[in-house]
Order: sequence, then structure tokens, then C-alpha cells
Amino acid sequence: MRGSRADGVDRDDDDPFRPNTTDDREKPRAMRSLPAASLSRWLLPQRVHRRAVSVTVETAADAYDRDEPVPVAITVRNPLPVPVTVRTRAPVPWTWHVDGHRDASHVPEPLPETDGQLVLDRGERRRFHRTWSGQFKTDDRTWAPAERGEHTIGAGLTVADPEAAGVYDETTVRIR
Amino acid sequence: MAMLEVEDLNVRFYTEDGVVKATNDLSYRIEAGERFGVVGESGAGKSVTSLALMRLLDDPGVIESGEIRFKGENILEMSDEEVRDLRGNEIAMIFQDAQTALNPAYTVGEQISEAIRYHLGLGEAAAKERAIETLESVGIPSAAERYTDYPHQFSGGMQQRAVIAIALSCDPDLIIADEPTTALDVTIEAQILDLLEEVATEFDTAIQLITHDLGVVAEFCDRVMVMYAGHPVEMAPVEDIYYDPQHPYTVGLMSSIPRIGDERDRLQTIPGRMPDLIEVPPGCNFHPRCPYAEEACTRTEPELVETETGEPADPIESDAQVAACLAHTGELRGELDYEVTVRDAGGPGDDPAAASEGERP
Repeated sequence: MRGSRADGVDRDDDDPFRPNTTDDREKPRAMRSLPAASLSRWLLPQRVHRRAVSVTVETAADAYDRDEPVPVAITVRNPLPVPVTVRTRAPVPWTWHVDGHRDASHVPEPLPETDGQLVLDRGERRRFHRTWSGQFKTDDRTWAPAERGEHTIGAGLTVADPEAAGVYDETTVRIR
Repeated sequence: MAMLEVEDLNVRFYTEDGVVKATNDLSYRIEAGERFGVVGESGAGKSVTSLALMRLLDDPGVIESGEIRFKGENILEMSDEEVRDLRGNEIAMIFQDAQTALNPAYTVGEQISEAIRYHLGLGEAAAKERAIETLESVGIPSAAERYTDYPHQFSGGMQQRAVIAIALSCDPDLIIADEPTTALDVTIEAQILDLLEEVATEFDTAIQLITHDLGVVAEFCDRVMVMYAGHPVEMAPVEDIYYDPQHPYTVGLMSSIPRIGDERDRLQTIPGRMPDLIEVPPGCNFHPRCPYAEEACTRTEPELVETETGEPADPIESDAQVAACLAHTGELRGELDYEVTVRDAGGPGDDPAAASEGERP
């Protein structure tokens, strides 16, 4: 269709710069600004939120030399088509450990006993990174290299029993 | 008893990515009338320390442990009302970015006289008079006319002066100046520093000056603390820091100062960058960047010790030069074999800041 207006500007349907006509006028626009995270928090029980989230721990290789840094990737994923909110028992939503020693330390700093939460959008995948130096902190000022052999690196959300709640994963690396 | 004593201050930020250890066992003191410099790269924990002093840390920042004693009273145990009485009155802060520090919706004059009315209990007219006097004292021309100007009507230098005027308005005993001249050109910078010096001398006001600029520190400060990754790595009177640095990081900072008449082709820098404070390297935090690092540096975190004796330091009680490096506790096999070259005064580059140069092997 070709139209001409009194101001002399030609408007052509094929013109790539023609203003768009929208056909979504009938759609409820308010739906776009629904507080989806809050709604899902109110409507879905907490165990559904927790069960929806998965945690994966990966290292780039299976074996590392002694004292070689070990990069660790921790992925937290929400496969649901709605946002989820997991309530945690610490202000940091997740922790990691090597052989059961949080932050690869025999003397980890205690976390405050205040609640926190982890909010993941629908289908969101969030990736965190840590590098294990290949050492354990043995006291306030000293580190010692890990023994040769297998070591378990794990990470989980700071909920009551992350393993039972399915928000924990671990992997093993060999120190040569 | 010193005017300000900070003891074992630990500040943490609990974030989704982990725990940010912003300051670790930080201890220092500032005497009345003393000018104390805090230097270090971005992210070393300088600004967090000053915000903690004023209890202005925002969520998710938490002061996890330690004490901040001002005239013997622990600020961390005070009620909110007591702290409000202290802020802007006995302890004042000059913020980094004047444009952000000033409220755009109020006139500059009102922002100064508000503090005066609140803390000194003066009436409208008397507060206005005092505010105009303060504006004059920081070098704002036609202060009475500019009193009703809004911050956007001031230039950058004038805004910074207005922020200084707010800080000075109630005759504080301690001013915390967080990079007060970073956004300014050098001529204005010199004027502002002169002004601060004048105030410090005239009213015996102590100043904690946080800066990147080692030239400013050399010119202005009595004692200096060098911070790295949330730790104090060296603390000493300013002459010792410049002529006899005892920590490789301080040496690195000194040798990276550009100088007029310098024959070097390239400016010497410290390789690498400040570690992520969520995940600091084991042992000495500086070891990945240190040219003198040995295996011991990756295994043992050095304590802050007196460089003369190697004994654990008490920065609150002692004025001695202290540093956190294994070289001073005999745990290093090698030595810190840098040289300090002092240029003749009067020649090119006679700025005291440029007097010290670390020559690396």
C-alpha cells in the first residue's frame, strides 16, 4: 500500500524504515512485568525450588602435577521455565571443598549464621570459578602441598544437607 | 592513648561469588594532628577501611571483627545516634567524587549549613554566616553569592572545595580524605593540599589521606601505610618508606613513579595485577608478582614484623618501621637485593617522591 500524507512524506509498506505495526495489542501487556520470581516463590513450595536446581563441578583435566593450580568450574542450573529461589543457611549461597576441607583449608573462616538466597531466572545457568592451588592451609599462616594421589573436589549450596537435597556435586583429580 | 586506634579490623563482603576479604587483621593508629597516608593499588582495601571507620559500609559489607577506637571509645559499639553525632562533627570525610558526594537537589550552602545546624546547634542565620566563612576559607570566590548555587553550577575543583568545606565546617579532630584530589588537575590539587595542610597545622586536625599518588604522600604525610590485597604490608615514617623501603611491593610502587629527566625508556611496573580478594594466593599474597619470591613465600604468610629486629610488630604501640615479608624473619634464603638511589636535591626530578628507586637484579 502506498499512502501520501499532507506533509508530503511518502509511506511505503516495503520501506525498511517504515514504523512497525504491532499485532500484540491484544496480549495482556501487564503480564510482561509480572514479578515472576516472587510469584514462583509464593506459589511453588521450597522443596520444588531446591529440587529444580542442579550443581555440577568440573575440572579441565583429571590429573595435575604437584603444586600445579587446579581450575575448578562450578555450574548451578535451573532447568525450569520459571524462576527459582533457594533459601540458604549462610549469606554466601554455595561453598566448595577439597577432601572435606572447606576452601581447601583445615582452618576455614566460619560463615555467619544469617540466611541468604540464590535466585536463578528461568532456564538460567550460572558458572563460578575457583582455583585450587594444590595446597591445604594447615594453620593460620601455613600451607602444605597436597599428597600425591586422588583428591575429591566438591561444591554444594549452603542448605541443610546439600547432598540429600540434590544440590551438591563432586569430582576427583589425581595429583601426580 | 592515640586519637584513632584500629585493631585487627576484618571486613568481609558476603557475595554470591564468595567471601571478599577486604581487610585482614588491619591495625594502625593516628595521633592528634598527625598526617597519615594510606597507599596501594585499586582494590587494596583503602577505601573500605575509611568507610569502616565511619561505619558507612553498605550491604553486603560487614565488619566481622576488630575494634575502631576513637579517643578511646569503640565506634563499633556505639549506637546509631552516637555515630551520627560523631560523623561530620568529630570525624569528617572528604569523598573521592565530589559530584556524587553532593546532593544535586540542595544548594551547596544549605549542605554546609545543615551540618553546622545539626552538630553545633546554631540558628539559621548564624549557620549561614559560618557556612559562608567556611566557603571563603576553602577559596570559593564571592562565597556569599555562591552560597545559593546548586552543585551543577560549580566547576569540578569548586565542588571538591565545597566537599572539603562541609568536612571542615564543624572543626573536626580527624579528617578522612579518600583520594580528595584524584579528579582534579595538578594546580587545583596543589591548592587543595595546601589548604588541608593549613587546616591540619592551624587546628591540630589529624588527617588520614588515602591516595594513589606517592608524590602527594611524600609531600604531605608524616607516616605511611602501604596496603596490598587487604593487608598492611609496610608501615613507617614517610622518610623511611621513601629512602629505605623494606617490602618488595613498596619498592615496586616507588620505582613505578615517573620522573622528569628520567633516562629510562620505559616506566618500570609491577608485573601482574592485584589478586581477586575472594581467592588470594596462598602464603604471601604478593608472591606471584614478587621478583624475590621463593618457595617459602608460597607456603607461609609473613607476619608484620619490625624490620630492625624481626620481632612481631605492634603498630598501635610502636612507631618503628614494620613490614610483612619473610626476608625480615630469616625465612628467605636470598636477600632483597635492590638499591635505593637518592637523586641530588635541586636537580631534575628532585621531588622527594622520586628519590627512591628500586633497582631490580
